[in-house]
Amino acid sequence: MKIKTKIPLTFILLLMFIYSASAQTGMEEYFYQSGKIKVVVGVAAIVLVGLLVYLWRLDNRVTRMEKDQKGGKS
Amino acid sequence: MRQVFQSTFLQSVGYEKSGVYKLGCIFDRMNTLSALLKKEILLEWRQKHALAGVILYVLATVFVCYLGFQRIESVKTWGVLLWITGVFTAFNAMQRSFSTETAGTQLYLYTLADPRFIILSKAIYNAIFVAVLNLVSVFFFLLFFGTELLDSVDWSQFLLGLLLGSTGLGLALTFVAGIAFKSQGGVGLVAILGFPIIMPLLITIVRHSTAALEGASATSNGLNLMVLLVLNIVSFVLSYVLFPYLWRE
Amino acid sequence: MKNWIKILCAALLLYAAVFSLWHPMAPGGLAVSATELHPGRNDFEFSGYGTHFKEAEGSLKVYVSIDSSAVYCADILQVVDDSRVFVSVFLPDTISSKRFGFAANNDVDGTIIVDSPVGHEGFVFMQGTGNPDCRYSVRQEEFSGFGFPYQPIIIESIRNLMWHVPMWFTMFVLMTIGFIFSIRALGKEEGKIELDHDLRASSAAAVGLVFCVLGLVTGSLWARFTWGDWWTNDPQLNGAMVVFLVYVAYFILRSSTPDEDKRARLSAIFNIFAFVLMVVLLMVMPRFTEGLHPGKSGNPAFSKYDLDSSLRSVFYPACAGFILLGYWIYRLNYRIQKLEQHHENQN
Repeated sequence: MKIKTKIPLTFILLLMFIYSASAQTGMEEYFYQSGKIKVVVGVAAIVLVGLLVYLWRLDNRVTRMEKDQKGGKS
Repeated sequence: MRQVFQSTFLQSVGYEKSGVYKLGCIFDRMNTLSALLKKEILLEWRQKHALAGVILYVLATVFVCYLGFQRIESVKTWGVLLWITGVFTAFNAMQRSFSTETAGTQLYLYTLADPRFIILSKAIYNAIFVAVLNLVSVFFFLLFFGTELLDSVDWSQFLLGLLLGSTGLGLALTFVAGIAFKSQGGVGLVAILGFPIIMPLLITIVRHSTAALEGASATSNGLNLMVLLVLNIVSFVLSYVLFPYLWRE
Repeated sequence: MKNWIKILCAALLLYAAVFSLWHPMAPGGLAVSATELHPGRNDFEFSGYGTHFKEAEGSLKVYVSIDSSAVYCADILQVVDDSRVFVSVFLPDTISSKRFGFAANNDVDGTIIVDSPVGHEGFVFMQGTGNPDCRYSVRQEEFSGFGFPYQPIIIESIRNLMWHVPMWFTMFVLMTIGFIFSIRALGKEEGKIELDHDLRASSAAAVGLVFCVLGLVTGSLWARFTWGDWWTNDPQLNGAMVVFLVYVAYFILRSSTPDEDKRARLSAIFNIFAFVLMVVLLMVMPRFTEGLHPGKSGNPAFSKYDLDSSLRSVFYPACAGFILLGYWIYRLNYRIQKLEQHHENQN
């Protein structure tokens, strides 16, 4: 998949995850407890996961090139 | 070729040495521009069936709105519907703006005139065209939905906003149509590239029109008008500066 | 990219991550249990957030203020724990205003204010009545310790400032890099250099788009628990969405133009358009329209009042760290793309 399809897809999946998580009862209270510190945890997790997914993709591209090179030589 | 022609012509009349050379240059440019504009209008006029098609499109859209709504409950709906119609009409009109010309015609034009004038003529023509179409759609809206909600409309303000919004749409979309045409990405590309580009303009013009229809005072609505003006200028300047690069082969 | 930049980036991010979560909150007033005040004796519970009621029990005072002109002190206090205290206050029949405020004051926390609307019943309102028997002026003392400022609905989630806002700053920096390279790509005549600049511009825009998505998603989550909805009608929010769409359109344009030279030229032109649009949407438009973001119709990002020194000491390093990280990822993306091109040409 190209970047133009994957980025919106990641975005939609993340949003769907959050929606479905909040739909369960108790999730609401979970985020509100102890002064909304859980919101900060969620935001930090999203940032980390987002960056890691992107780095994973970069890594995959390098792997693909390496494979091609091996295949080309033999 | 054009330069050779120009220089020999100008030398023969001793034009370059005269004091009004600079002024003459401007006139020369205006002449090019008006000639190109005339060409666009003439082309449109010769294809009356296409013109009729676009107007039919406007009529059909407004009629569908009428069938769906019967009567409009709020002024906000009025403004939003008007501009949804306006935007789709503009897209419809824009898709023909470059595709009617063959590659040969373009090459011919390119040798004759500065590409800046080509885009300018097209953009100005499209701006006028979209403005006229929007006026037509306002007429149809008034025809179908009546004026029951529009007691306190500030018509001069509304029309000024309509004009600025239409020219903004015309300018921005002409440029986008140029890009889409050059990329050979097909008809759909104009909409994909164009929609996000005109979004700020659209938000502002809907806000302005709704306020004008509600009868807001000119001072309270002046900010929207200013934003519209700024967006017009920005898209004009960007088209003017960037189009030569787009046209370069 | 120099190694010390990477080390600096890592250090800044580590600092920001640790201290955005580590720093305590400054104390603040959370709520009062009273829903309605009436003449005579009123009993209610006053609760604070991060306060030290028990620790500074001796100096604790709780007040009911009426339109900040008349202040009535609570004469019976019963401290439950550090954040809760039972209060009893005597109010007269005649008062001057309908606006009630609650405040507590002690030596550790300074003055804490609860400003929630409270109903009333049975009062006689009369202008200029004041001077009750038990009257104090509320001492305006600042919290002496170090902590992030307390704000009513946001509370702990003010720490998101160090995670959410740097996303936009990073996106802006990356888009600016893309913009500059697009201009340079157009400035040069056709040839290899133009393609290289185009590659840089598109890699910067790709990474910028990732940060844009992160900003949107984190903003959506934060908005849900402060403004109550996943999406609110705010000019910056809508603007950010349009910026996202514009840059997605940029990549669609790129993928639908097969010819390399043509793609470089067209996407550079569109990128310039997109950048100008982004500046208009995120810097200019929010100034003219009202929104929920702090500093509405003024500074679009945030104004001074909610960015005090404790926040700044973490916020600026966080921004710098994320910007460097964004630049780092952009370089990685660019180098990998260049290698891929080279690789394709070889095969």
